[in-house]
This record gives sequence, structure tokens and C-alpha cells, in this order.
Amino acid sequence: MAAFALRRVLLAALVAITVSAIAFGLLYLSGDPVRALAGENATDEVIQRLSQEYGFDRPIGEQFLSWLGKAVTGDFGKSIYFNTDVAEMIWDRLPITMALGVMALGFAICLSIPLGVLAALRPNTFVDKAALTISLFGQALPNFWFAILLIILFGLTLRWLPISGNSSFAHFILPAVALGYYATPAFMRLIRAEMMDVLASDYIRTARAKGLSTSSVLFKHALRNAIIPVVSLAAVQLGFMLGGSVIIEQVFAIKGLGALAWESISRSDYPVVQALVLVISVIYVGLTLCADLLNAAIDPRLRHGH
Amino acid sequence: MATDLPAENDLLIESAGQAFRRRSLKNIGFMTGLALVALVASIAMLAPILTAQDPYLQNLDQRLIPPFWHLEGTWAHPFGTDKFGRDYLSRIIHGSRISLLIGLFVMVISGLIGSTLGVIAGYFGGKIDAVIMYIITVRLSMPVVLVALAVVSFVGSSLEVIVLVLGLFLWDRFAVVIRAATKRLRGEDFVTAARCTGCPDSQIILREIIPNLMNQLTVIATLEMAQAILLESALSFLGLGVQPPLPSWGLMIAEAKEFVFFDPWLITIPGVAIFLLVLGINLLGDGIRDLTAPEMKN
Repeated sequence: MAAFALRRVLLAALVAITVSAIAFGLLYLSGDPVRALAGENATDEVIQRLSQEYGFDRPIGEQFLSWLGKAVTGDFGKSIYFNTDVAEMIWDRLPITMALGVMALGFAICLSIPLGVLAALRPNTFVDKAALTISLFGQALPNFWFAILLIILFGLTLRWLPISGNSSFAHFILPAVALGYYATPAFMRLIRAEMMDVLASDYIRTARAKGLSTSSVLFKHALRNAIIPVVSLAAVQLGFMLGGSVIIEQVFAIKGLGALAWESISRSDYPVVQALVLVISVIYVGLTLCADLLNAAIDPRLRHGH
Repeated sequence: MATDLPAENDLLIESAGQAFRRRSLKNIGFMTGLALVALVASIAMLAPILTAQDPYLQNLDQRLIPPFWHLEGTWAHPFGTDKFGRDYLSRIIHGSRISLLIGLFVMVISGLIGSTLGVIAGYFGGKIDAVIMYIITVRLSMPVVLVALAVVSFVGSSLEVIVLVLGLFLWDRFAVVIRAATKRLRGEDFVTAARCTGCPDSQIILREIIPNLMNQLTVIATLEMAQAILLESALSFLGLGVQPPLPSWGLMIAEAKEFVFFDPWLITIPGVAIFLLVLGINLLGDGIRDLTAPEMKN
């Protein structure tokens, strides 16, 4: 286990460094980064000063290493637009997006466990087909459009829920549904497949044979074992949701990381964009690392090759 | 010898092609998907013939006319007009071209990148496989929407840039699935036989491996095309994808956002268009999978 864990941690570190190089490189996409930072009408004097201040006169490798060195200690520089600390800006917004992500995840899991279990209990029947159809339809809905439909129905027509902002718990319900709906098919398919595997196993037959009630067999024995892979999928999906929050936060005017990303991109606030790409990627790398280690700890077969 | 068989038996023996056609006709999902995709594709191809009105022509006297199912709707503009008085039906019809073009090009680019990486990793294994797995992991850990938005915004938005960026991002599923499939094929007897006869690796890959990957490739290609269409609409919705006045469905929804209170049909119509196209492509993909490679299910 130790050898596997070490290898997996090294891979994660390597991936994180590569991603940080890509995040750093984003700045160079616009051509001349100093001009991009200074704006179009900047004088040569300003450009020279900026280039010294940000270190653009140094070789690119050196720039990257110094940026990365600071990033590791939590220093992402200053926003060009607000001249405030980038790390602080991100730190302020992170809890909002995390809350949204966790709620979305909760919604997805609450919806997919019953559907997945029902589908596994009655494969190829109406319930199973209905569950598959729901997931098929879900995958074809553009998420921003689904979000607006939720707004039209629950916000404007029924007036049940607030549609913009993030000042109370109720404000997070519609966004969480819009964001979480997209993870539902993946969870449902996984739970269905896992449950079908588990239900066909010997210990379930034993549990049934010794006369346990159906609910006890299902929830105490089967679901508990089928749920393990779901935990690791949840970690991966949470990572995806942080990235997907860009769209949903825009629709619901939630001031989280996604909104910060969109605003910074449209303001060409490069240091913030770089930091956000890095932070969200590293969170994802960390979550998948945890998921893999968890799986390996539970299932020794995963530690040795594939 | 075949002439000796009784004539009735000929009717009972199906060719592989006949069996395939019989099964596909019975697969409702596949037929629905095929019909939807064929419908949108023919609308896209015949767009100039189908539309009487110019999708770009503004007419400020005729703004925000509701569609025909409303009381005030007219048949002159079956889907009504937008805030600039442009005919909504014409814009929807022309928008299908953008979605399909972006979907197809992204599919080709990401398919080439992903399947090349996947075949190489799966066939050669070892260190090469480890390096490619590392590349795939790097790609998966980057938030697609965020990075695509940033790149499109910093480089400048145009159809070419969007196609390139999405193509460079959406190859991961191709790589993962094709790698696994190639690994499996590599252990098959016919590949071993080819290697025993001294066939070079390039020939084995081209003649033995790739033809056997076609089913999986088609399935992922459809799924990725659907993904690309959804992502394009999201980028356009956020204002960093297809630029006005082009009639991208995602952009049309963004332009109609301010009318969500009084004219929600401006939002529902393009949304339904995206939904039907993506649903059609996904159904087609799932149908092809069920018919050709049912082992890929789940």
C-alpha cells in the first residue's frame, strides 16, 4: 500500500506542476503579456515599469519558477483590476462555491441512489427504463438553459424560490439542482451496476437465506458495499462541479469562484485567472488522489497494476 | 452444394447485414436518434432554401412578435422575431449549421488526437503508456469550461478558435476508451498471429487494430460531438463563444435573457433546438453501441 500511495502521490504532484505551467502559460496566449497587462494606450515608460515589476524582462523559465514558488506559499500576486491580493479574493469566494458544489452533490446523490437501486432491483422493467430515460434527457439539456427553465418555473411562475444572489440557503436550492442534475446519470449508472453486482453475490444470498427482511438485506448489506465506489465518484464529480460553476453562477448571479473567473476573464485580469485555473485544478487533483487512495485501501487488487 | 438446399431454408438464413438492419429497425432509440439527426442535418443543408427571410435582416418596427401559437402571432414569422425584429425561425434554421459544423470539426480534431494517443498507449504499453496516462490525467484535471473561456477570451473569439480549443480539450474520452480497447485487442490471437508472421507494428496497428476499433470510435465520436455542441452553446451563452450577429443557439438564449419575464419563448425555442439535436446524437450513439458493441454498456 505504501509503495502504491507513494507512486500515486508523486503522479499527483507531477500533474499539479504541469497544470501550473499551463495556467502560467495562459498569460502568453495574448501575445505580449506586458501589453495585455498595461492596456492598449500604455506609454513605453509604464510598460517598462510593469515589465520590471512583474519580472517579464527575465527568462520565461525563471518567471515561472518564481511565480510557482510564491503560489506554493499561497501568494498569487495582485489583481491588475482591483490591485488587491488575489489569494484573498479567492479565499473570500471559495466557501460559496464549495457550498454550492456540496449541495449539488447532495442533490445528485439523493436523486440517484433510489433510482439506481430501483433500476438494479428491477432490471429491464419500466422503472429501469424510466431511470435511463431521465438520465438520457438530462445529458441532452444544456445546463444554462435548464437553469433558466428552473428560474421561469420555480422563480417567476410559482414564486417559490429566489432566483438570484447567494444571501440565504434558499438561494442555493435552484443552482444546486441545476448543477447537480448533470452528475445524476453518472451516479445512477454506477449505483445500478454496483447494486446488480452486489445483489448477485453469495453473501446476499446467505443474508436472504437466513431470513433477513428485504429492507435489511438491501440497506444493511447490499447498499453499504455498493456505496464505496460512489464515494470516489463523488470526489471526482465535486471537482467537475467547481469548474462547471462558471456557468451556473453566472445564471443565478452567485458571487462565487465561477463568477470571479468569468468577471476576471472578461476584465483580462490575468493573475486572477491564472490563480483560479491553478486552484481549481489542484483541488481536482487532490480530490482524485483521495478517491484513488480510498479505493486502493479498500480494494487491494487496485494497488497492483491494472 | 448450396443448390441442394430446399428453397424455404434460404428465407431463414440471414446475412450479417440483414440481421443488423432487422435489429436496428427494432431499436426505438436508434431510429429516433437517426431521425432527429437526419432532420437537423437536412435542415442545415437546405437552410437557404427553407428560409424565406434573411436571418440577419433587422426590422425595428417588427420587434418581439410572438410565435404563431400566441394570440398575436402571425404566420409571417412562425417563431416570432427577436429584439432587433429578425425572423426567429430563420435564425434557428441557420443556427443548426453552426452547431453541426462545430460539432463535426471538434469531433474530428479530438478524435484524431485522442485515438492516436489511445492506440499508441494501448498497443505499446510500458513506459509509453505511463507517459500517455500522465498526459490524460493532466488534461482531466483542467476545468474545461474555465480554461476554454480564458483561451477564447485571451486569443480572440472566432469559429476557428472555438473549434480548435474544444478539439484540443475533448479528446480524453477517445484516449481512455481506445486505449482500453487496444489493450484488449493486443492480446487477441489474430494480432499475435500477425506479429508471428513478422508484420511490423505500423501494419498491425493499421490493418488489425484500427479496423476493430471502428465500433467504439463511432460511439465515442457521437458522444463527443454532442458534448462539443453543448459546450459551444455554453461558451456562446457566456458571451465568449460565437459572436453576434451569427445565429448560434447558445448566443440566442443569452440575447433573450433580459426577456425572460415577458417573452420566455425567445429562450425556450433555441433551447429546445439544442436539446433535440443533442438528444438525437446521444440516442444515435447509444443505439450504435447497443447494436455493435453492447459490451461497452455502463
